[in-house]
Amino acid sequence: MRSFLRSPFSTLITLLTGLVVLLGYFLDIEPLRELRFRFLQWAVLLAAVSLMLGVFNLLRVHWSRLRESTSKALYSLTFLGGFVLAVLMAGLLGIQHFLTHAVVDYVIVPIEASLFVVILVTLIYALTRSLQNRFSVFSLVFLLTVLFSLLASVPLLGVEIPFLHGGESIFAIGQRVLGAAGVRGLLIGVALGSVITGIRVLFGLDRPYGE
Amino acid sequence: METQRCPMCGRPNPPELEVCQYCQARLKPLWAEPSTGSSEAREAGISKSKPGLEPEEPLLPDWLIASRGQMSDEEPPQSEERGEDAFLLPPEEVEIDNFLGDLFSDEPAEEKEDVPEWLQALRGEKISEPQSSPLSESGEQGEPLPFWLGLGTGETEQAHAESASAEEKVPPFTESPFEGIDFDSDLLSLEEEKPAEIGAQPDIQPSLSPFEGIEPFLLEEEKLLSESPSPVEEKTALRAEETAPLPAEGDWTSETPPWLEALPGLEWEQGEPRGEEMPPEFLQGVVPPFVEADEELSEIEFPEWLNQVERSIEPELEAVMDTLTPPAIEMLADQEEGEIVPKEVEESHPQEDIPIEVVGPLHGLRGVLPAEPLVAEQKKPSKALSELLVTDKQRAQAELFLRLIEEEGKPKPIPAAKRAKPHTLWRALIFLALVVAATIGYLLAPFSTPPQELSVGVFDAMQAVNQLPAQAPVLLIVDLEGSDFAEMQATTGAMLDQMMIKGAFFVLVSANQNGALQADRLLREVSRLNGHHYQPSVGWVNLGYLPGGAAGMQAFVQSLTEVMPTTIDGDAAWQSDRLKNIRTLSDFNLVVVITEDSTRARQWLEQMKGHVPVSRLIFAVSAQVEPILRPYYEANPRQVQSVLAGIRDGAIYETQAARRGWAMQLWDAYTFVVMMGIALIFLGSLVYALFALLARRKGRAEREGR
Amino acid sequence: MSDEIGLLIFLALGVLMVFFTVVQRKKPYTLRELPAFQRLRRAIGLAVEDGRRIHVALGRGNVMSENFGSSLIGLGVLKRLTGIALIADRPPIASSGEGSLMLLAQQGLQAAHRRLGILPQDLPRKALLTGTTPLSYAVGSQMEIRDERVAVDLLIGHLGNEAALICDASHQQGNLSIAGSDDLTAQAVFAAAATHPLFGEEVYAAVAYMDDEAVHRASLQAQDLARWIIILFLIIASVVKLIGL
Repeated sequence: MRSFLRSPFSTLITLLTGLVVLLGYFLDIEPLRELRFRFLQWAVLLAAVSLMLGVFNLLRVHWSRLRESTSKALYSLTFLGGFVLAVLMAGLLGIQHFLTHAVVDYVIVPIEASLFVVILVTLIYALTRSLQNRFSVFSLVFLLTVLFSLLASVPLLGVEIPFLHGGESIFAIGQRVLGAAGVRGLLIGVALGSVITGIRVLFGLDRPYGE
Repeated sequence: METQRCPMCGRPNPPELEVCQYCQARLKPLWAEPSTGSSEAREAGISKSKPGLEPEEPLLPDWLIASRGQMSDEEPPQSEERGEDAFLLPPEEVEIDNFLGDLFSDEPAEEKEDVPEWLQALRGEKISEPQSSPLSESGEQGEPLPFWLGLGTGETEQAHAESASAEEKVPPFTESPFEGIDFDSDLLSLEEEKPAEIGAQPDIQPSLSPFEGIEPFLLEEEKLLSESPSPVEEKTALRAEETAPLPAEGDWTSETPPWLEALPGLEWEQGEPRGEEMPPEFLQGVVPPFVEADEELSEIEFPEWLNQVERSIEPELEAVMDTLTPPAIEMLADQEEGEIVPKEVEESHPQEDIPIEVVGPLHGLRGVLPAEPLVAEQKKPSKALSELLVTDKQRAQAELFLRLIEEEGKPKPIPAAKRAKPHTLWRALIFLALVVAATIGYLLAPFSTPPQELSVGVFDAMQAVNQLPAQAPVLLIVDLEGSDFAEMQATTGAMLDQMMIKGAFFVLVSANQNGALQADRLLREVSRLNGHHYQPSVGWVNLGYLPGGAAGMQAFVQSLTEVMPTTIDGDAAWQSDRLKNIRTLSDFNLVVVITEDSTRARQWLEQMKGHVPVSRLIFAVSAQVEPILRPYYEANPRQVQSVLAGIRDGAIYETQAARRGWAMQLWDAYTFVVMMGIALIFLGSLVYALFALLARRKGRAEREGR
Repeated sequence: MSDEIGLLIFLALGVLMVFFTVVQRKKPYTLRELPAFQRLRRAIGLAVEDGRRIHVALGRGNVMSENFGSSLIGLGVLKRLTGIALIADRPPIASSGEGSLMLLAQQGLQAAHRRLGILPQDLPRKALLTGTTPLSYAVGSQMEIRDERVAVDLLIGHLGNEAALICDASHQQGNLSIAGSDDLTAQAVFAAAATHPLFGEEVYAAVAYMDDEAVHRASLQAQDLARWIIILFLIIASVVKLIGL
């Protein structure tokens, strides 16, 4: 059965499903649209199920680490305890309960906010060392662009400099022209790559996740 | 079942096979087979498999060719008729040269006609009738006879008869190896270590080995070279030979010569079962296995000519012995020990003037061009050649090589893997600096100056909110993570406050797992901060998490009541009075997307295209997303009504709405933190760039210093 | 109208890909050297010899979203890395922030084991979901990098600014980090924090640099040709608009 599924049969299913959704998106044919909608609904369900499977996998990994009694077992214990607590609270008390609110307000959000500060410190640190790691024209231009963008985003000690701040400032024009152009170029490249990769997978030319 | 062993691989084979079935080696030597056809090649000791040399590969020296030609002219075709006259040793130079010619001949061996007489005799291939004898019979049974045992074969009688005729044509003695040999004296000289045996068996012991006359390639070269007798021993043997009287005719035939006793297989005579004795490895395939003959050598009647040989060759042999070289003498000495040592070919050419070659592969042959001392004079190499010429580079390489070898055994400390320094202090300084800046900014909030310039996006957003009817249903798509909550709270606080003032009813949905909680929290905080009494289910319904990414968004946009029919609490979402008229997105008075993720922002924008009027679509995003959404906002026609980006737009909105909120509280802290970040990046980059330049300069100096 | 144009573009790209795949057999497309993948080849060998792991961060791309393309590339990289380094003492591991991505990664590892005739062991710990939210995913990946003696970090997939935490953990361990994402914010982060950042469509070329299959080179060739066509179209359209046609 396993080899049967791994055979061209699975590739055929992939191809047909992908073609139906793709053509249903481009062509305004009612049966095709209806079929595409059904497929999408199933896909949404599968995505939700895969989330649950991911959570179960996480629990399993931490459980096995706890059983191995390694030095990192404390983190796994914390995770498992927090998971159980969150499930009980949300399941029994509901999302509108004040305890649930308290957990969100005083645990989840502060932890994530502190992690965001860590990201900020990390990025500043990485920027300061960028010239040491790669002393190149690219690094220099990148650094100067960052500094210029930051300078133009806030008034300097409460003073807005005309050519630097405002809608018609150098920064705004540079952002609208150079920045937007760069963004569009990158997005076009990314889109091309995504489409080509999708074509490869759709027509069975490449199976990065299997045989 | 009788089998024969292959001389090459040693595996048993059926007796009828001529070639080993495993390794394809010949089981029966060519020259030991009965003459049934062309036998030139076999007679010459060359196997049929030896390919004939190409005409363009002449290996014969000119002098040899000439001698061959001479000899071939002189040599009548009676060589095949010589039976027993052709003894072991090719006495004539013609035979030897012919033999050599066979070796190096350009022509295939089959074409050669000259065959040594001894070989013919052994083969018994005289065209005349082969006479049976015990030895020959045993040979005919399939086991080839040792050629030296051909002395007592039944062919002797015929050989007697033919010998006379042969002598008439060509003196047989010239080919006989025993010319001038005093067998008794030789016996005494060679068998010094075995006096008993010698006394018991006063056989004719030719000073020359029965193997003489056999070409060197047939003999074991090592024994030839190593066991050749010393000149002293040779002379001793010769003297013994000189002094010892010739035995009477027939006497030596009645006794087994010692050298014969020394041959392998002797133990068979002494009662061990008869069998065939395999010759040495170098002779296997060429020399047939030794087979014990029933007839004793002493019982064999030797031909008259042999007796004559004995008498006639004595003086000449004496002369020959004088010219024996040390290797030859050593070989003779080894014979005393009973080893079957092939003796060197002793030249018994009647032409005593022709020197015998004493060195090289042609050792023992007459008539070859002397290589020494004329041609290949040994010279002492010059001193310059004896010294090794070593260049400086080679010396350096050799020293390096030696050093490598020496250091190989020395343990070297394993360098620790270089890990990047965490620069904890620098990170801590950065954090402290940012905290200080934020604190100062927060403390200075009452004195802060809001942004002066009115953002176009803020104006459009305010306009859209102002146009909301009372208690209008508003769809809030909140794709927020907890880390960005503070920023988005500051960005959207004033706008949501305005909507709450108008009594809007919010429908919350989120495409990320955390968004539903954040959306709920956002409305609670706005309501709390601004004094509104918004409650869940009264002020808003939370549809919860929308899975499926872009596909889920598309499904929701196309059929929201089917995709999200219930609230996060499990209640029916679209049955309430406020939402019973909602069927599509366009039924909402306003759709606000609040996210910090640029990808999600684009996805929502692209999926809602055509499903929501542009005038009712507002995006409130983080400052990092603004450059990505700006093209949609600035496009003509627009694809989105407004884009509120970051705390700045939130502060402007609050200022315009005259409702102080989080944005204004955080604005100064935000500006101070940003300025501190600029300073940290600038100074830190300078310091690290300096470090990098110094390190590069140092590295360059080290490289140049090498 | 735009739908038909979109379908036409899709079909044209498909035909180009097939055509270039056939042409590759006779005239392979030459790839420009990317320092990131040159260094990766060597780093893989050193990591295997040193008994250390290779970590592939697949990101949190949703299988239903267009950003899953970069995640597919990450899966392809993981598949090829596993084929190379599976026999090592410490085979590669993959971390993901999405359930479906985790399942596909496990399937890919299982296929690699099967191909080499090795019994797959402990797959949940080799391809695991480290967090359901971006920051929790980043923190979980940090723990994997620190605990599993990782030598090389490949961040290829859909990641956001949380990738800064992963890059920082990689940097603190002294690892080589090669990072690419379809997200622009992440690319900006990688420019500062990663050893070898990949910008734009360079991340989609990762698989072509790791194996010699014709279809991957054909994909790159089709991409390049399409990009040139778009450039020409933009220039021509701008000129036409300028002159008022």
